[in-house]
Amino acid sequence: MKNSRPYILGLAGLVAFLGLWELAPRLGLVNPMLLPAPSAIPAALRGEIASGMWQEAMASSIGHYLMGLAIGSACGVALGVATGMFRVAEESVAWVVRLLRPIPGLAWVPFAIIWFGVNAPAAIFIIAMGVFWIVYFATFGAVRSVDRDLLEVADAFGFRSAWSRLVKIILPAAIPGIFVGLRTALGQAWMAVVAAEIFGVFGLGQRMMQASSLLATDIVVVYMLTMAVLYGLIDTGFMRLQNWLLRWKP
Amino acid sequence: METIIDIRGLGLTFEQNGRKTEVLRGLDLQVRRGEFVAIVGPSGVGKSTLLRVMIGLAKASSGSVKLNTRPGPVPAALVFQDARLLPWRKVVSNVAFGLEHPGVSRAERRKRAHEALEFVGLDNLAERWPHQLSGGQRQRVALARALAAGSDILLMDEPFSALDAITRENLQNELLRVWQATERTILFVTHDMDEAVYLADRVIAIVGAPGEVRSSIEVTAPRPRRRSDPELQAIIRRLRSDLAADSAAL
Ligand SMILES: Nc1ncnc2c1ncn2[C@@H]1O[C@H](COP(=O)(O)OP(=O)(O)OP(=O)(O)O)[C@@H](O)[C@H]1O
Ligand SMILES: [Mg+2]
Repeated sequence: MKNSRPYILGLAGLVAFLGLWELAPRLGLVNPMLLPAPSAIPAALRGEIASGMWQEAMASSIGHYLMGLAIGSACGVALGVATGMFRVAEESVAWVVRLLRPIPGLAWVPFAIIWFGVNAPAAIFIIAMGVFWIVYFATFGAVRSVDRDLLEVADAFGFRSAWSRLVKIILPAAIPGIFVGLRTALGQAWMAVVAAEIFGVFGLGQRMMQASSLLATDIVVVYMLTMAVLYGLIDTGFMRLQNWLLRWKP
Repeated sequence: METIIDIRGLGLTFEQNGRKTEVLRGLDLQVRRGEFVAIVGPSGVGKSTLLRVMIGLAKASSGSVKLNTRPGPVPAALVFQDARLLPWRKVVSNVAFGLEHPGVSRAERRKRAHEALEFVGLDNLAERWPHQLSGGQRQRVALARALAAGSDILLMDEPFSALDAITRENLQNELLRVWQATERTILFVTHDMDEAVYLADRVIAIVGAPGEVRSSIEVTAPRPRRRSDPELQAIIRRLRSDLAADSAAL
């Protein structure tokens, strides 16, 4: 009985929220043009699916998201490992990092469009920029704090090259820390997807802006909810993967 | 008998921020193949450092260290005071760690890891994670890891000091059994005089700053030994007075 309380309360809260939302336009508290009632959403979703727009926009956004995430985290992990393992690397990039790091990801939009046009690579670039810094700092910190005693075990058993230390000790030991960064990046990248597409690259964000310029607010809500559900699924999937990979943790 | 460890005039000076600490000076130590040698001495005298020099974790400043062992990635396997298992590897793969060098197939590694685990009586725990083991089990896995590495020489740095008295006595007997069955040469550092005389063919006392060998006492009592054997007690008294004489001289 006690365990079911969070579910019951959560469900009740959700129902109350939807009820208030439904009542507001119906009672004339807000103009239905400005805020569509939730009961209007399924029809709008069916329309978008029938036209094929919903599927295409979603596929396009997920494509940008995964590419940007992959490129940004690969570069972040690579540079983080290099600077974490070698002082020379850290010292060489220290000032460049200090210079570039405060630039918000979205400040790269002008260059992204100049370099790549209003195309998928522009969106991928913006997403990757945001992800890169988060993953870089997480990786650098995790590599720096690898237990020296464990590195000594590698030494004692004859693994002395930088490469074997990396694959035998440093990477496995740093993975929990890297994953903390990756999870933050997962959320950041999702925001960057929408932002990049609002500037016109085809995807959920762009389709949402189109609908809003036609005052099709029900379609706007369809895409907002699609983003929320997709992100929820991605985050849950990532947590599952992480729990499995880190099952060695007490 | 053939000499397997031949250390002559070993000196070691640590240099840190321009400050020099002379830890060992003119240390001589010869060990016969198959011999069990215990090393006792006050804290900070350089016992761990001596073991570390032997496998290249620290560099001698003067003198020579010759280990007459088969060629391999490491001349000797080290068991640390804390087991230092890699938490992200299952027990069996921790034991196989020292075998992950070119020329040993995956199947061969697994086979030898299971053999080593059987030797310490833990093959039933092969698929556990390190955090699921007790302190004594962890230390036995660390011993198995060192055995599996296949070196002729086992270096043990206070391997049982963190365990309770009963577990410690069990592991001492286990170690004696492994030693007699595998014909290894063992160098065993300990603070515990009872442990030293119960286990070893010979007890070495290292004293002074910088550290040097003060006494080397053969323990001739026949095996299996009784811990209360008066002969062992007499040796302990002698070791105590040697160590006390030294601290009085300081
Ligand atoms: N990397 C290092 N740099 C500088 N000094 C060191 C280093 N490692 C050890 N020492 C010093 O060398 C001396 C010997 O240390 P060591 O660990 O060999 O002692 P020990 O005999 O094993 O002591 P214990 O019984 O407490 O383990 C100590 O004074 C220690 O402070
Ligand atoms: Mg020590």
